[in-house]
Amino acid sequence: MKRMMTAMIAATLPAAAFAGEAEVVSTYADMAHAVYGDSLIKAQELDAAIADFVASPSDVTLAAAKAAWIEARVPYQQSEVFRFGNPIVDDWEGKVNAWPLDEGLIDYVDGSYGGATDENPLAALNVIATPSFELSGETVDASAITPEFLAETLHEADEVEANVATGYHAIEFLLWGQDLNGTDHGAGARPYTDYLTGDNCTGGNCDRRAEYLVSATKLLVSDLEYMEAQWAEGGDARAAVVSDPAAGITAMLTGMGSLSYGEQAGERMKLGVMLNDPEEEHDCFSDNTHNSHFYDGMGIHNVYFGKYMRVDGTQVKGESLASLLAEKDAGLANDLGHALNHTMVELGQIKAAAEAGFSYDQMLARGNEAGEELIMSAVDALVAQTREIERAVTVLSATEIEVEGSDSLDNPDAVFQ
Amino acid sequence: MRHLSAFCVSLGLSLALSVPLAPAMAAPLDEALSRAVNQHTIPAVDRFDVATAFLADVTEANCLPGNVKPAYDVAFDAWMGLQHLHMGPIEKNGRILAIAFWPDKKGMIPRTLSGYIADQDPVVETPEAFADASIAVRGLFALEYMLFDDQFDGYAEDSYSCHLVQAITHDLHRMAAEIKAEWNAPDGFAQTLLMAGEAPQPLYLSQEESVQALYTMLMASLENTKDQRIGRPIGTFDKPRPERAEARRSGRSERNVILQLEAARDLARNLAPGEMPLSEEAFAKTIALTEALNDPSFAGAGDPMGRLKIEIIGQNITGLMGNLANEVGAPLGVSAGFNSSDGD
Repeated sequence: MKRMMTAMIAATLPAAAFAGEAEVVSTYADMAHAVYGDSLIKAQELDAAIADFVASPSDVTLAAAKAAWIEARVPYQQSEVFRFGNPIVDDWEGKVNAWPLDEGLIDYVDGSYGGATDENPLAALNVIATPSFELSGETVDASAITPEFLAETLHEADEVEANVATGYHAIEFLLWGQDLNGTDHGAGARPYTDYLTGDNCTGGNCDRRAEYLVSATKLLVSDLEYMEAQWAEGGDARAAVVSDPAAGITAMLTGMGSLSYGEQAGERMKLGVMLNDPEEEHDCFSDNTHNSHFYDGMGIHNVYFGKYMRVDGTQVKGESLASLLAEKDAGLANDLGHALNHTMVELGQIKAAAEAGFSYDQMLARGNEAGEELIMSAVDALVAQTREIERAVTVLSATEIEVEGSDSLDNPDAVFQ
Repeated sequence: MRHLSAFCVSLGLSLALSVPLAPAMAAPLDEALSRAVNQHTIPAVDRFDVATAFLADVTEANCLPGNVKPAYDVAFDAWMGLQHLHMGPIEKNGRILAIAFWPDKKGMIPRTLSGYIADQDPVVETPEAFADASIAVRGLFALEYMLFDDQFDGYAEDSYSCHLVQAITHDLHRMAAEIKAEWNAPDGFAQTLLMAGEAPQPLYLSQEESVQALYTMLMASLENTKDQRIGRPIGTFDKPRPERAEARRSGRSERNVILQLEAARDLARNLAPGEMPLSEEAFAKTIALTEALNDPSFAGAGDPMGRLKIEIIGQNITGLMGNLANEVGAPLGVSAGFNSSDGD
């Protein structure tokens, strides 16, 4: 809350010096570098915690691994605002944060999960129990669950998006297991004995489960190393925005608007309420969805105000989009800042309720009016901030409206053409 | 219709009195906005209300699939004239998802319908309760399963499934009537668009923003048709997915693309400040190509030649959008904003 207040004050102060586009995109790239750097640091801690856990499985080491996962999500979710608008990130992010997943691909599931579906013949493969399987008429050797096997063979196998074999949510499933509580309180409750060797192993194939968990985490670390480097000095993602500051500003606004509206308000929040489906929770195994949404919102806030607090408490800050916009339209800059702050309050209320025991899956239950109100208020706030972002686009890219052939969503500039 | 023109007249008057217009750009913007709202959106809202009222009446009298199917098509046709307007009352309360939940990537509809039917869930007993049910058992796509899918369509009169079908159609009409009321009211969404900053319930600060919002709907709807209605069934060359075609069970996949293109053309014509010859040509060509497919459920996506023909329609839509940007967006001075399909 203190951070938010500070940001609000900063937003209402007149800009001390002229904030040029070049300085603003430089801050943006610095924040991206820091947020992926933090994600990497936290993934390395997760990797260490998981190594401890599989070396000596117990309730204590499992809890420590879960805690490391929850911490790792804090910076990563704040990075999502960099995804839309930067093709280098968008092309990559499916490796680390793909969702939702057909978890039966990976491991055992409850009978209520069902089997293969029209959409996904591998929905109930259980690769941990299946060292060899058929895919499109060919035999796949899954005898060693290496990072390469996960990334190159199993992930999006059969070109099905729900075959998520890698990233945070695959790891989450391997730590928590399925959440079988429906829209009642409670997360997944995988026992640590799923990782015991020998006769005490539960769930079968504990050695392969451990191999999977370790490989998936190593892969997450290496994927984050790649992205951190993309934003370092000399990295391609940094170069793309700093070499063309106007395009960088467009990328910033595209990321803010696309995450606010189509992705977070629509796909991740409204759809779950409308379906009353706890599987539509973003972090459905761990019941960490309230944080996932909160830190997505925080990422958008960070980009606008040009300030990111790192996981060690230090700050990355510089010339901001807010001050750039204030130079051109102080009223709009203020309105957009207020809209973003309002969203953080709404997302904060979801987080507060969830942390007090009213979990996100309970909010999704049919007829749960308090939950629906909480979620839909945040959705409305995200939609409202999108309108202000669109206004900022109009002001900041007034001279850049181009009329060429339009592109698909693959081209992040498409929304501004 | 009489009611409608009276409404337009009063609207025009209040607008002329209350909105000071900047001389240069205001006239084309003002005219485009007025045409798009009065000649495109209001008739589309009315048609959907009438068509769903018909569907609900027909289903009330006889709920069996053979009787309901023609009315289902009428209602879906009307929806295709409206579904691109992701705004105001159509978007409010998630109505757009409740009316048409597609794509259903996880097979929620058949799974949830089976659950409700097995449990004889009492939610069908009152409209209020049904309005709170999962969108997986509501709207046109749940109804499609009930009417056209072997797993569901064998029900008898007065069975639970029969009452479920009646509940779905009543719920559709309830939403359509609410949309109409909220669109056309004196302080409704039509006014919000037309009067912009001066509206009783303002959302857009200027007429330019209202026009931009409508233009965003135009472009987003075409992009959505290309990415979803075309993109999902064609999948990739190695892995076409005809089973993912929209409304394939009712054999409407091709028809929906045609109707969507026609709705977009109507909106574009109303928005365009002048002639739009290249867009007209591209619309005509794309619609003709789609009609020539003769493949109602896009089953042909499964073979390379059929797939290619469908893919070409998507490519034509891309070209069409370029023409619209030049002939509609640029002269109005607007570009498309964010849309609900941004993201995954």
